[in-house]
Amino acid sequence: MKWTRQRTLIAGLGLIAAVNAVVLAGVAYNRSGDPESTLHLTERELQIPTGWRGNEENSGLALSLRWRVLPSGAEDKLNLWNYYSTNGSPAWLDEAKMSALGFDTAKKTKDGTARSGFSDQLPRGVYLVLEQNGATYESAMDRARKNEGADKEGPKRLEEERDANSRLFVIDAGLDGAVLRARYSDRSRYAVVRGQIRPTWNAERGTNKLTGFVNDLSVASLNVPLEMKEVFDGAASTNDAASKSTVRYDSEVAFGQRLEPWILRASRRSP
Amino acid sequence: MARATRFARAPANFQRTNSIHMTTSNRADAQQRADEIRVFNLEFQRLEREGVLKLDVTQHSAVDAYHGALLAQYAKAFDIDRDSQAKQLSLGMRVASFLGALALAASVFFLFYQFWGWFSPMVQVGILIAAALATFIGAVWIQDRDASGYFTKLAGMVAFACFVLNVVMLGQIFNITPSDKALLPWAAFAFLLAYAFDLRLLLAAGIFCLVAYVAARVGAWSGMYWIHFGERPENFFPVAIMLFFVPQWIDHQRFAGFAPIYRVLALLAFFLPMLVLSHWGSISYLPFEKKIIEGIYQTLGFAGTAVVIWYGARMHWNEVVNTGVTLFVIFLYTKVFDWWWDVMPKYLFFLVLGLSAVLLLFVFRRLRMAGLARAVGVAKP
Repeated sequence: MKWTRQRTLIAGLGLIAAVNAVVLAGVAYNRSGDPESTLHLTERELQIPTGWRGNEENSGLALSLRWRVLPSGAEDKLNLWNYYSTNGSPAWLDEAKMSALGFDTAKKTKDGTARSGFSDQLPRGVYLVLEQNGATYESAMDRARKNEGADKEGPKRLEEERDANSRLFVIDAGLDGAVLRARYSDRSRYAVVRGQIRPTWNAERGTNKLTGFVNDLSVASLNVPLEMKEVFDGAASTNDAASKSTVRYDSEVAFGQRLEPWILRASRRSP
Repeated sequence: MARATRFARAPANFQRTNSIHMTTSNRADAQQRADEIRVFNLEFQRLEREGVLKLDVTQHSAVDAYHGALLAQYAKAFDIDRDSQAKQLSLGMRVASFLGALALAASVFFLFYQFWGWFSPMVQVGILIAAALATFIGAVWIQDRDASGYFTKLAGMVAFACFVLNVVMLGQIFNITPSDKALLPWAAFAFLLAYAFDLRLLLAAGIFCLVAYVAARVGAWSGMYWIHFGERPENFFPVAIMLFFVPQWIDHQRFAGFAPIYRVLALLAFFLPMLVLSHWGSISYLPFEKKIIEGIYQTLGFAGTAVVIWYGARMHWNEVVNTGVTLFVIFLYTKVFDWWWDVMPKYLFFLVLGLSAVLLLFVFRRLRMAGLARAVGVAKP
């Protein structure tokens, strides 16, 4: 069989068309029907990347989904800013949970130390539950209040926790999205998304505690469509220093059938 | 003009009795035949000067005309280099074409990023699909008119870049979960362009995509998130072994230089992960102590490259022998560095290195002599 120019054309055009059709069908399916969940997020959770307006090579805008985990209270003794930071090892991600997520917690090591054999395992894809402005955020506020007098930075930490920090927390993980959804049924407060967890260990009170580290969400930045760009463009042009604790925009973010997010609505807050 | 003159000198009965058969199907074969004709002519002139061989005018004209016609046909069909000066210029063109292809592909990416924010998602999608389709059609159109292949290479790379951009940007526009599955259509498209247009650069691109995809799948089967596939080097072994034997299973006679690319990239995909494992045993799947794993891969590295050199020499695959030798030396030198860099004075370390190179030269000279002896033995009736 001789391979002709016509066959090349058909194969190439067919491949391009088929790949685009599959991708766009996936997008249509994700956005079909009612969203799996819809969260109300503000600038605290959905941030314009630093230096975006200075990037003349890229006219597009993607907002970063700023999420956090709440570490165990014992870690406050080591670092009072700990509960303020994004990603990390949440208190609920203990040895039993890691085992349930498929990590081999009994894994003995190649060179003798239990912790190293466990943390040599690579990150796994899991379902994560995001909670917006819920009980976990209240716990973070309580801890900020409790630690207000611990050092001179205490009042600043409390102010930032109250006015600026993200209220979006990763509060649970599992291998079955439907099970997680059944456990967290409020679709306007909890979103089930895909992400990755890797094994690690914590040296807490002299013991090597096996735990997990929430690495990242599979989709952690959201493209801003042209019709909403003005909202964020205007916000980005205002003085960043003055806006540190001023929320300049609100948005509704939907998570679809494939748990992939998109911005449903966005609006500027009046100054 | 020279071609026309040579045709004119052909005897009258030549074109009736001797038809020109182009037995070659690709540019590389045609170029090789043209080079052989040039060498033959030089040697023939020498033999004539020294009185060893003398053809009569008719015979001389027949040979001359036959070669002239053959070269003319090759030049027309494959744009071959007919002399050494053209060959040197060709090398320059190949380099320019390669760099131009990379630069144009980068330019396509940056052009889109510069302006895409000013369009609605539907227009963005339209532009991406149209760019992929138009550049592919353009590449097919150019290939039909470019016997040299240089412009086809440029167009093929731009078409590939547009298709990659197409898929990547759809992912960004619609916040799609990143997936290793994207590597598969990229590999398919690169292979299509490579085989249809005879482009080795795109064959390499296709092989890279395929290696990454299979390694990611192998990694995902073991439970890891696919993007970390590079952190377990053993993930590359199955696809490397498979790639090495592709030219054995599928005839690549028509595609000059394709089989060596498969074999060289397969060897790199097999031995470079092995080199990494021979130094960092903790990232292996093997359930042994770190030092044992490193020892296993060091042994396998030395033994494997030695087998590759032997097999390459046996099959007359120069590229396999050269890659095997290079990898063997890398294994040896990294090990020598591990053992002696800290404990030896520097002059002694480099002396040992130099002496090991001399030893390798002796070994390869012996192998070469053995090969020559075998070749002479085969040539004897």
